[in-house]
Formats: sequence, structure tokens, C-alpha cells
Amino acid sequence: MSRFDHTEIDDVIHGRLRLGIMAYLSTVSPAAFNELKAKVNATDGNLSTHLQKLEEAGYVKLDKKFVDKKPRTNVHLTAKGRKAWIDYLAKLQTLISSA
Amino acid sequence: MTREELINDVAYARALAEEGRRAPLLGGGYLMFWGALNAVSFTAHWAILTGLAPSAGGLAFGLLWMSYGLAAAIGMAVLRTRGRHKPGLGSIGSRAEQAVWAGAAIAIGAGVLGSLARMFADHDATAPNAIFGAAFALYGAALFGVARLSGYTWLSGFASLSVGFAALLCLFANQPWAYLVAAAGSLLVLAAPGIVLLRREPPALP
Repeated sequence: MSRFDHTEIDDVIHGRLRLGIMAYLSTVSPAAFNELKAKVNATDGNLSTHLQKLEEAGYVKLDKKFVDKKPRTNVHLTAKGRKAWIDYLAKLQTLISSA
Repeated sequence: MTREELINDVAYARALAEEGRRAPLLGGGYLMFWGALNAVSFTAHWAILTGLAPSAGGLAFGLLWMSYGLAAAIGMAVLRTRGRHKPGLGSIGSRAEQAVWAGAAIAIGAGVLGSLARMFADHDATAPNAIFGAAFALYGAALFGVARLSGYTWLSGFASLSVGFAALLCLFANQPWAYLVAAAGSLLVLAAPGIVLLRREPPALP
């Protein structure tokens, strides 16, 4: 019998879109909202919803400011988020290799 | 969730992470600008030094380098504004590029100030010639660092070329033609990779 148990995975990260956000932010942080939107192929509303979940978990931080008189939201991966991402990858590796 | 679904998710995450890791560098405009500005200024300095252009009792040198400072200030302000709207500004490669070049700029600035101080204190007009060798060595170190940290390994070739120019310019620092060598070096090790990077830059964010 397989020992694969998906309930061991961090649910905050493991939604398709949130996984993409965390993966991109792991190498590009901060990333502008529009940049992230294009990379994960999401709509404004969808991305905002998922970013809110990640922000509530303390994995990302949103920083809103004006750049050359245009509003800009930058998304930062926090230290807690980076740790959660590394733990998530380690858990995945264990799960996949043990399945 | 099945194992296959999980493997697909990991592949998706990996593709996005790699896209970020390989995000285009955004310093091409800076390299091209400094390469061109240095080349024009060094050539003009050589022309004044050799009598091809009027020196006006040394006033031309002062005017040339004051214009250089003004052009540098305006150019940097324009480039900073332009760069703020590019995607990938927070990528590892881009942050490494910004940090390494900021360090090199501070080091070159210290060399410029020191040699100018020596020129005025000792009335030695050749003192600033010492900047060339140090500057090209620092360009080489910066290019090498960016190449390693960003994965843009082809920049290492330009780094080696810059180190070669540094050795040459240390050896022939006080020859008037060293200014022409420095001008050619600026085009080859700064402007040329700058153009390549600039062509690969993504469009600005909406």
C-alpha cells in the first residue's frame, strides 16, 4: 500500500495558484502585482484572493506605494514564507519518494 | 490527490521558479550609457592632450570633466526612472547586479577622489591616470561577480577582457594614447555587453 498522504502538505501553499506565486517569489522578491499576474496567468481578483490567504498566513507581505505617480503593489516573500516554502518542498520530496 | 498530480504541480512550480531565476538582467542600459560616455570623454581628453583640440590653457579639461559629471547625473536619473517599471527587478540576478555594481561604483569613486586630491596637492597632472587600471580591474570584478551570481556566464568573457585592459592600462598609464585604449576598452567591456543585455530586456510593466 502506498504511504502517500497529501494531508501532510501545507494547504496554504498547495493551491495551484498559490504554489505558482510562492515558486516565483522564491526567486523574484519583491515582484510587482502585474508581473506576478502575468507569470501565474491569473485575473486581478483571483490573484488578490490568493495573495490575501498567503498574507494572512504571514508568508507574503504586500507593499503599496506610488511609483512615478502610478499606484504599484509589490509582493514580498517574508522570512516565514521562505521557511514554509522550503519545508513544503522537503515534505513533497519525502512524500513522492516514499509513495 | 494522486502522486501524478503532485508531480505535475512540482513541475509547474519548478518552471515558475526557473523563470524567476533566469529573469533578464536589467543593467544593460547602465552599461551602455557608461561605456559610451567614458569612450567619448576619454577620446576628447586625448584630443585635448595631444593638441588636436584646443586646450584653452587647461580650461578645456575642466569643462570636459564638468560636462561628464553633469551628463552622468542626468543619465543616471533617467536610467533609474526607466528601470523602476521593469519586471524582474527583484530577481536574484538583478539584485546581485545592483549590489555588485553599486560596490564597484563606490570603489571607483574613492579612486577618483583620491587621485584628484593628489593632483591638486602635488600639482601632478598625471595623478588621475591611475584611475584607469583600477577602474577596469573593478569592472572586471563586477562583471565576473554578476556572471557567476546571475548565471549569465557569457559575461565572464567580458570580465576577462576588462582585466586584460586593466593590466595594459596600469603598464602604460601615463602615455597619452592610453586614453584611446581606455575609450576602446569602455566600448568593448561596458557598452557591448550593455547592448546585448538591453536587447533582451522585457517591456515595462503596464
